[in-house]
Amino acid sequence: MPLKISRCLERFFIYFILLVGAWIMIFPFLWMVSTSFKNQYEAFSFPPSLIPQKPTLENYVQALTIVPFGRWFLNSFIVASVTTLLVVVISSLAGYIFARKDFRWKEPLFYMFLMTLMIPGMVTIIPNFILIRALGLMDTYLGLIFPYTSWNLAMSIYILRGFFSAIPRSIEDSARIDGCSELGIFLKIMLPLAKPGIATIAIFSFLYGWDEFTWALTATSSSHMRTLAVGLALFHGKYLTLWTLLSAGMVIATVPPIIVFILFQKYFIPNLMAGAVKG
Amino acid sequence: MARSVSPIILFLLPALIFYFVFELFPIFYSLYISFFEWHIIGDVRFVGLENYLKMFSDPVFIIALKNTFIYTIVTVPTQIFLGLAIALLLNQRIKGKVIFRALYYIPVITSWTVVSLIWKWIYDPVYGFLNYVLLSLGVIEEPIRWLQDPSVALYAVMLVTIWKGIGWNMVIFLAGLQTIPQSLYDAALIDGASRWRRFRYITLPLLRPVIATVTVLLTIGALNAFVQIYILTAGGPLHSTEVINTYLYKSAFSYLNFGYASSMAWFLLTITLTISIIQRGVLSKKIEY
Amino acid sequence: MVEIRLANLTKRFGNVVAVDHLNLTVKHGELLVLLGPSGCGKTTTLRLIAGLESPDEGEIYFDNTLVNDMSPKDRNVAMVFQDYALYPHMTAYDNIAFPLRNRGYPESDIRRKVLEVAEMLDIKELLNRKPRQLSGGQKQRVALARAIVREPNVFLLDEPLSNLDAKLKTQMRAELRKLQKRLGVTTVYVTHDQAEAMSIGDRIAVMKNGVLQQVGTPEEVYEKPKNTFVAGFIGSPSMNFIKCIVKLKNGVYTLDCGDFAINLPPERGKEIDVPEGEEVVLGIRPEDIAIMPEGSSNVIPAFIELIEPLRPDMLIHLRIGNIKIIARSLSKPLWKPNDHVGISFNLRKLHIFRKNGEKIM
Repeated sequence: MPLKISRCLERFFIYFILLVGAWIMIFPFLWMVSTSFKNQYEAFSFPPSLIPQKPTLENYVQALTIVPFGRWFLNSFIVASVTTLLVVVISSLAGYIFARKDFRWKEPLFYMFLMTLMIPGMVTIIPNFILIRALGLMDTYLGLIFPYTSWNLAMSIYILRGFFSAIPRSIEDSARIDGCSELGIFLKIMLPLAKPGIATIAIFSFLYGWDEFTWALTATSSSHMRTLAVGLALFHGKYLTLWTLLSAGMVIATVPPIIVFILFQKYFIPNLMAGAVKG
Repeated sequence: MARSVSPIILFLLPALIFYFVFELFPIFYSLYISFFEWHIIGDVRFVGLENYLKMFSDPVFIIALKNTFIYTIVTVPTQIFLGLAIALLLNQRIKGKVIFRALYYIPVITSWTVVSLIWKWIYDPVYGFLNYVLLSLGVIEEPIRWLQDPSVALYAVMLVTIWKGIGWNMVIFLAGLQTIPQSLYDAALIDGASRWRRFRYITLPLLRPVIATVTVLLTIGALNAFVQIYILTAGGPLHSTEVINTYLYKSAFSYLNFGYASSMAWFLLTITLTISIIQRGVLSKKIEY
Repeated sequence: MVEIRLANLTKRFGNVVAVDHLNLTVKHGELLVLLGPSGCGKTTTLRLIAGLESPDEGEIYFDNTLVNDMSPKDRNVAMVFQDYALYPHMTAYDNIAFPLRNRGYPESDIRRKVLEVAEMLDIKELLNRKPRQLSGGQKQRVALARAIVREPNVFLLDEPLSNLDAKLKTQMRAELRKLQKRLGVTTVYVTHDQAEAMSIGDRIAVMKNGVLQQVGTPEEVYEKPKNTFVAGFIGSPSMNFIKCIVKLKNGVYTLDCGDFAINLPPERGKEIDVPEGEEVVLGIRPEDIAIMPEGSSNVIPAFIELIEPLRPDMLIHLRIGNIKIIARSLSKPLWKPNDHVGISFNLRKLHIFRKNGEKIM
């Protein structure tokens, strides 16, 4: 077979597989969006169609008014945002120290942080439950925020330490010579130069707080304190067939992460070794 | 020097406090609990290793253990294989690489909750899209009860995991592939290496470190799977999708047996750590180039 | 041993024409150098010959066989890349054996051939090492061994010496030349270094912007450059170019260069076919300028701005009015900067080019 034709066929084959695969990847989402615009009859009719025949917004209206999706959205937003803020502040301070200062316990402490990256979350759920209950933080925002913050520290410190280390010491020295205080150096030089790193951990922390399920399930009991992740699942558990309404809720729940992803795509792909996005 | 110590401690203090209280302390507290018969309401009684021994005569636990391993052994290599395959295809001079990458990555960035719920609807035996397609194409004659049939449920759950993970693998492998200089492939082409030989003798060996790391991370993730299984099947039907984590969670918060649950958690922790240490060792041989 | 013939070879990348209707023949067993600045199309031409790129127009023949549609494997060419492209995870032995293994030779044959080639290139002790354990020169020899072991029709070398330090470069140049002569394989050698080209090539093909400027033996391109580009590219320091106007008085041609003028002897004057008043470019190589004391007869007054004492040569930067030229002198330093001297040109080695660069004489 002449070189040109076999190459053509080959490229066709490649695009075909890639397109089929891409379709398999996004179809379930399209299906979700489609369902969210269907009324109950249509969702359960045969044959099912991807494009709703009689699209309706009633699911969205109900989601935001009758069912507490709106409240759940707010909860998720508050929890995720505050967690992100705390993580950024705390891990910047710590990451800076690990990158630039030397002290006796530095190595062991850092390895301790790293080791816990290998420890799966379920181990700490039960003790944290006892702890949070004892602190009277059950069913509160802080009951979610504090553990979330803590669990994201190891990864964030690790990442930020990397970014801080990459800043040439000569810049710092030059600032010192120019009379800048230590705190000033941290705020005016180190932080701005580590912005990509801070953006990365901010994104991961936000998504973590937004998506986390297991702890939110355990630490909240009343409907109005649930986050979106738990709220959606429990809603489904209660109303097994209200797929239309649930789909609308899921679409609403997915919009912020998608926005974050689109805006900050360049920060996702490089930080691959962070298992944070996985499971 | 006294003056340079205090800013250090000051800067580290918040991190250390949060970390110790909510991460480090709980890890060891969990171990402590596992040696007790500890019900959330009621007595707390020291029982030593009894919880651990109980696990192995608990038929449900044994099933969970088996399922956990099956789950890991099936999903990890499959994700790697498919992710690598797509990455290889995408690495050819393809137009729209960025778009493809984004599309494949969308399942990855979506939460497990949403993904599980979407698939639960797709898996619906009567109204779900999957059965509809398979029936129309004549692939099956009767609807399959994906999440309700014990012989199928675990596979249905594994499929969701694999589907969600392919994009993550693909992105990592793509980055790895791009570090291989094109001149090596040119040289191999001139040296008469067929496509398969180029893959086997250049691509694969040079990707080995990446594959090793990915395998370790995926294995840890698979052993500790929880959310998708909890939402899709809650471990049922008839424990056919029960994994260690789901049984653990139920023991703690449904049967209220903290001691037993903690022992399972530590057991899983031990296995996870052991496997990841072994894997790092085995797959790290000769990684330096 | 094949003869390579490129007919009207053209390759485009987007809007850029990398190789522009190239017509070139590489003779049996010769070492042809493709010489030119970055981006002139020499590497692209090499890759087209190898089969790593396909031409948009034109044909490539190996001994009258059209190879346009043949894969690199079938063309039986061997290539040494600029970065050597050694497989980093394989030992030197395995690197060299790789092409033979791909063709399914039995291991015993492979062993014999690899050792033979290793012996030839003096790398036998290095065979068990991995590329990262080898120095630049050693890596290069392994890359060469890999190319030679297959007994290919054609060698293609892409700036093989550019990553080596100066001393090693000179040494390897000679070795490569000897090796090629010994093996007698048709070779195409790409470089941007004109000294390398001059020392190693049987013939040199000078390229610019994808277009072949001139092809010829080193003497030919040095002594008889066809245009200012070739004239200026070959030779270091490069030829001096001075703008002049042609004047004719009483049958005697004069080149009026502003700050000085040169009368052309009658026999050279006959070669010029240019109307009076035309602007031309005068070219003279540094070694064809003689420097004499100020008052000597028939000299042009000049002023020494700077002397570069390279040893054994000296490069003398001169100024005549507003014109700056460089002369090369072997003699002991009779001159100092700021001296006023007299210079004269070797009229037999004078080149005259049209304004557009083409040669007149």
